[in-house]
Amino acid sequence: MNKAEFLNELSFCLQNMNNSEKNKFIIFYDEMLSDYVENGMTEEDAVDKIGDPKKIAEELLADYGSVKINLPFTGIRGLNYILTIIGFPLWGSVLLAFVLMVFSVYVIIWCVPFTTGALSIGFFTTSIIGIVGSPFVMLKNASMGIMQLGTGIASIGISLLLGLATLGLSKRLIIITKNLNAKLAALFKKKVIVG
Amino acid sequence: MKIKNIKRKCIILSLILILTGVLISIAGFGVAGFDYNRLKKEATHDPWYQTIHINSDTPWYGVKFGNNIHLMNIGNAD
Amino acid sequence: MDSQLKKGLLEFCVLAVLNKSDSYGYQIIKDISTCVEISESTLYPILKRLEASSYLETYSVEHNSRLRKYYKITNKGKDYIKEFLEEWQQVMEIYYFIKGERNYE
Repeated sequence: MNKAEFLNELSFCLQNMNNSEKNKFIIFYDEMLSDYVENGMTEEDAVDKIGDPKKIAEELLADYGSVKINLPFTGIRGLNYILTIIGFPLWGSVLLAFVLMVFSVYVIIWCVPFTTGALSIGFFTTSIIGIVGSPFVMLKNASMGIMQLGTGIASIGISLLLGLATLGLSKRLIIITKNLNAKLAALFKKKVIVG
Repeated sequence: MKIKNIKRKCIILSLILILTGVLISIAGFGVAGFDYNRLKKEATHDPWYQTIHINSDTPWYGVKFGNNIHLMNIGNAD
Repeated sequence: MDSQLKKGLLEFCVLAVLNKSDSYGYQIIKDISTCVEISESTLYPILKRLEASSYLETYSVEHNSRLRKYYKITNKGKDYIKEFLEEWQQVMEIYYFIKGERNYE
């Protein structure tokens, strides 16, 4: 492969990258190859030394964790901000979809302690009403009243267990949620530096 | 140690409560002569402070205020 | 060597080369290669990172009817190297301690 072929192949592999970044990269390698040749190597040997353009492109893309969205970034900071804001509909919708997805995951996992918590409260109030009301029921219907007392007492026990489960689950989930948040934050920081 | 103890105590307490409650309930059922039908006949009033209800042959546990406000409802597919 | 460690160390190698004098891609590779192996595809992201953190600046000079990009270390970069070397003094102490060659009474 000679220099032109190498650079063309490289450019082709990086076509999804935004142009200014890509050009800087290509120029770097163009220069490097020219220097090798100037110092005595043949183009073929220089290209061999540098390596396979496909692999190099892969490494570059991986290093930069490049998002497939082509955000036009110029060298001027102010212009970058304006362009980012104008381009909002594009990256904004992707970001929104991602945020909603994360949110729905949270909702799903927190459903469980929420359910046990709600049940615990439900059982508890029902048992209070049951125990307090049982003598009244006993007046009319002895057996029903006694059973109500019994179920009321049992319900307190159930509500206590559910309450413990809710607390335990919540504690664990808080840790998981914190971990997830940290990972997501790290993911975003990486992408922001890249941009 | 402190924390583990409280948790253990709570779990044991709740199990005791459940056991006691179940026993009393069985006793109550016994007063009715272990007769489900008799229980059903006598349980038609359904005041709000009654927690065990039997509606159209389906027993359910919970509290009912008025016609459609249920504080809790376990067992009734209504 | 652990690749992350190597990449980190190579950053300082690049700065050290630039500390001696401004240089360009090909020359940087040649100089560092006398000590440790470095490839062009490794050098590029390092240069990029160093520039992003303002440890080096770039300028272009015409050479044989083409433009050659030169890299120049900044004062911030010089301080960065100094910090690194000072910290590594400590590392060397610990190294010798582990190796057991120093006498600690």
